[in-house]
Amino acid sequence: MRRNWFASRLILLGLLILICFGLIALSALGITRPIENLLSTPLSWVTHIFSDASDAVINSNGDDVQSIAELEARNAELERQLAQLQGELITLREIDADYARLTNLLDYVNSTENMEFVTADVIDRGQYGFINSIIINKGTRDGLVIGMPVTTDLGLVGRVWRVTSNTAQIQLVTDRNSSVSVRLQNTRAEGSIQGEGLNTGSLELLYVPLDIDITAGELLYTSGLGANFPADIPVGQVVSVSNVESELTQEAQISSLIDFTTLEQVLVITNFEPADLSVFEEVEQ
Amino acid sequence: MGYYVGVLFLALFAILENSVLIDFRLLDGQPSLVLVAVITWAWHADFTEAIFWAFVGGIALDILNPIIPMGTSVIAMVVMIFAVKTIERTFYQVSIFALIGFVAFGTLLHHIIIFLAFTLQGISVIPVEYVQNYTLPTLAFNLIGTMPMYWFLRRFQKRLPQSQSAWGISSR
Repeated sequence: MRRNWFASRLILLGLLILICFGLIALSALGITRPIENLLSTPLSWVTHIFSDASDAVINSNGDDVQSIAELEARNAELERQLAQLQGELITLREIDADYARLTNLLDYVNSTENMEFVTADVIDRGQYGFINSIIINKGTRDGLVIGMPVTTDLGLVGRVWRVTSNTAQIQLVTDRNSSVSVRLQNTRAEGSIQGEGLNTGSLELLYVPLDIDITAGELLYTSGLGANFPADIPVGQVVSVSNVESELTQEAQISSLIDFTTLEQVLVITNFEPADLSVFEEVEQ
Repeated sequence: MGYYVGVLFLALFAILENSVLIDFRLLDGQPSLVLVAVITWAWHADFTEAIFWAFVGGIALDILNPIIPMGTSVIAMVVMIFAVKTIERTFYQVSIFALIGFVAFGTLLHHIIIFLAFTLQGISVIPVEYVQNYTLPTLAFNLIGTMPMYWFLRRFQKRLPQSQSAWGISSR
C-alpha cells in the first residue's frame, strides 16, 4: 500500500518536474511571453504601488536618519564651542579677579602718600630655610633690597628676607621669627606682634601693659618703632585677649586680614629703608 | 477554498517579496515569503492543494522576476512539497519544528536551482559570493520567519470551510 503511494507520488513528481522543465523551455523560447505579460501586468502594477509606498516610508526615515546625523554633528560642534567658550570664560574670570585685586592695590597705592611701590606676583609659597615665606618675581633689578616692607591693600605681609636679581623671598608676619612693633587703634597702646608659624594668618600680640583695655575686633597698625616698618600699615585684628593678672603684660590673639594661602600679588615699599638701631644699643653698652 | 486563498496569499506575498522586502535586504538576501508560505501551508494541506500552492507561488515569483524563466521556482517548491508529504506519511508523528528544517532545505534547493538557471543563461555568478551575500542571509530570514508564517497561515487554514480531507489526512 505504502509502496504504491510512493510509486504514484514519484511518478507524479516526475511529471510535475517535466511540466516545469517544459514551462522553462517555453518561457526561454518566448512562447509563453503573452501569458506572462498578461499575468505580470497587474502583479507588476501592484508591485510598483507597494514599492513606491515602501520607498516613500524608507526615504522619510532616511531623512530622519540624516537629520539625526546632522543634529549629532551640530551637537558635537556646539559642545566643542561650549568647551572653548568655557575656557575663555575661565580666562576672563581670572582676568576679572586679577583686575579686582590690582584695582584694590592701586587704590591702596593712591591712598598712601610718600610711598613708592613695586607690584610683584607671588610665584611660590612655603617653608624655605625654616622661614615661613613666599617668593615673588621681583628682585634687585627692580630695586628691591633686604628689609623692605611688603604689603597689600589689606595690610602688612612681611619684609624682604633674601633677594636675587629677579626674585625675592619674603618673610611673612606669620613666621615665628617675625616681630613687628604695632599700635592698637583705639588706645594707641603699643605692643609687639609675633607670628605663630601658621599660614592661617594667626598672630600673637605681646607686651601690652595690663591697664590697657583691648577689645575684640580692634585693629592694629604698625607703630614705626624699631624703624623696620613704616607706621600706620594695618597688621591685623584682635580676636581674643588673654589677661593673666600674675603676668606683667597682657597678650592677645590677632588675625591678619590677609589670606596668605591665596595671596597672589603684593606691593613692595621701595622707598623705605629700615634703620639699624642696634648701633645705638652698642653705644649704650 | 484553500485554492482561492492560495492565489490571493501567494500573489500578495510575491508582490511583497518584490517590493517592500527589497528595502529590507541584508546584503543581497531577503525573506522568501512565497517559499516559506508554500512549505508551511503544505504541512496541513492535502497533497493536491499543496502542489497547487507550489505552482501558483512559483509562477508568481518567476513572473515578477524578469531574469528567471517561468517554472524555475516551481521545481524547488514541488520537490519540497513531495518531501514534506513523504515525511508526514512515513512517520507517525513529526514535530512542527521540522518545518524549520524543510524551510532550510527548500531555501538551499531554491537557490541552487536559481543559480543553475543563471548559469545556463550565461549570467556570471561567483558561487562563494552568491552563498555569502544571497543564500545565507535569505536562509537566516526564512528560518526566523518560519514559525510566524506558520502561525499566521494556520489561523486561516483552521477557519476554511473544508472537510478533513482538506487537511491532508485522507489524501496522504
